[in-house]
Formats: sequence, C-alpha cells, structure tokens
Amino acid sequence: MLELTKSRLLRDPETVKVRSRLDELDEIFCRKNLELYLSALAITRDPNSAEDCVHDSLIAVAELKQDIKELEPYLFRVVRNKAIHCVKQIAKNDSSEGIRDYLVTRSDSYENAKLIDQIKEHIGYLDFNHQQVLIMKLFSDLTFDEIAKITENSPNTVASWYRRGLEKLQEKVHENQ
Amino acid sequence: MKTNKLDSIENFERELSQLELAKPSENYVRKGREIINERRATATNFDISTLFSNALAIVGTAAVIATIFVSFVMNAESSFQSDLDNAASAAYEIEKVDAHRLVRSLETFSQQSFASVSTAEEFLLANCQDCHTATYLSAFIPENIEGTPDQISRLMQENIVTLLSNTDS
Repeated sequence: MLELTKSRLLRDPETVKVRSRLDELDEIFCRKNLELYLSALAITRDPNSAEDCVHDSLIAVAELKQDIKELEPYLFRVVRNKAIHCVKQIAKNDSSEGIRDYLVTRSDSYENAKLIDQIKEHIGYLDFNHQQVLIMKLFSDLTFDEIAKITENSPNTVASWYRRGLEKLQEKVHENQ
Repeated sequence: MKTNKLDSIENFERELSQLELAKPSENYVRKGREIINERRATATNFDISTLFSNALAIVGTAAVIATIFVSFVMNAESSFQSDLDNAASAAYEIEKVDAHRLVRSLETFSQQSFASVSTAEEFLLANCQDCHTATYLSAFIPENIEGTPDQISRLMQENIVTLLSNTDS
C-alpha cells in the first residue's frame, strides 16, 4: 500500500516538478558555486556571511512553490538580495565581530599588507555598483560577461563601472599617500 | 597626459592584482549540496502519516485563507488599493524606490500566505525584482506577529503611511 502510494506520488506532476527543480538547482550549484559565493562576497565583504547567504538562498529557492522560468539568474538575484539584507543586519546590530578578512595577498609582503588595508579603507566610499564590480573583476578574475550576468546588467555598463571605480579608487589611495 | 593617466591606471591595476579574494571554506560546496539533497529526499520520502497530516494542513490553511479573503474583499478592497498607492508614492519620495515595482511587490505579497515573519521576508527577498525594493519592504514587516497575509501587508502599509505623514509634517 505504502509502496503503491509512493510510486504514484513519484509520478505526480507536482512531485516531478519539484524534483526537476531540485536537479536543476543542484546542477547550477555544482557549476556556479564559486560565482555565487563571489557575488555575495562582493556585497557582504565577509566570507562566512557570503557562504551563509548562498546556503540560505538554496533553501529559499528549493522550497519555493511557484514556477520559475530561468532558475540561474533567479538564484543569483536571491543571493544578492540576501547579501544586501545581511549587510543591513550587520550594520543594524553593529557587529563586526568574527568577520574574516575578505582580501588576501598572493605573496606575503609588508607592501601588500599595507595595500590591503588601504583598499579596504577606501573601497567602501565608492558607489555600490563600482565596489561590487571592482571586487569581482580585480580580485577574483571574473570576466565582464560573467559579472554582467551576475549583476543583470550589460557587459558595457559593467566595464564602464569598473573603469570609473578603478580611477576613483586610485585617486583615493593616492590622496592618502 | 592621457597616456600617463592610462599608464598610471594600468600600474595601479597591476599592483592590485597581487591581492585576491578569500576562498570559500572546505565545507561550502558540501553543505550546499547537502541542503539540496535533503530537500530532494523530503520531496520523495512520503508515508501515510505525512500524507494525512499534509491533507489536514491543506484543509486548515484553505479555511483560513478563505476567511481572510472574504473579510478582505468585504471590508477593505478599495481602501487597500488607495493605501497601496499612497504608500508607494511615499516610499518613492522618501527612498526613491520605484513606485510601480513597490505596488506590484506589495500586491503580490498580500496575495500570499505566510507561516511566519521570516517566511514573509524570504518571499520578499526572493520575489522582488530589485534589491532596493526588497530591502525597503522587508524593513516594514512587523516583528513578533504570527503573520497572515492580510495582517502583515496591512501593518506594512500602515507603517509606510505613518512614515509619509511624519515626513509631511
């Protein structure tokens, strides 16, 4: 009786739909887990919170009842919304405790450590879009096309944000030298 | 002059290429896949008691939704729309949130059923077309309320309208 019910349910259109969504979600996560993490990290600037945002988004998307036409951009949008929400919560609670460094050096040197401090200090003053694109392009080698897909903008817009952000960041760093 | 500027930007870019973002932890991918696999297992592991309790929950929820819907339609449909419009223009003035998107989000929101504030928040974050609207609206979800859609969306509107009147005065 139980087996019969189970096999019927497995053929149930609703169950089939849920399973197919979860298979697709799994496939997207296997392929894009690093980009998802980076898109959250560019906003939260805390690796632990970025991971939590991605995991929370997987739960939210896996449990949605409604139909979603394009799951991949939808998942990126949820991750970015969650990251923005997370930053807001951190600011509200004024808790920077336990935040890991999001920038590291490829080689240990005093100059690089100093550069990290300067970048971390000044990047926060840039426009929100400039900050994100700089973080994703400069420090993680994502292409403009990849960043454009993540942020749902055109590659030209993203490239122009990058150039303007880089110029402003350079100005700010040099002003303080 | 322009060449110097470009050179200087390129040097700066090269200098910054010494830095990279922190990698995710070793558990990051494993935990993500576990989350999906747990949901997959839940979607197929049915038994009779689950079916029975699900059926009861569906009947209960349907009854609650029907009651809310009837009272909503009977008492407040016209004022609800005008409140939404007021709230939207208020929000637009104050926060520059896109008024049309806000109205659409609130309308979609008020048609849903939520077990708790956190599920309401999840819904907003997952469904708003732009991040600003989602974060803006989520700030108005009332705390400590066992939310029915009517209660939550109404309180959110009231909060936004209060914000408008405070700003006006």
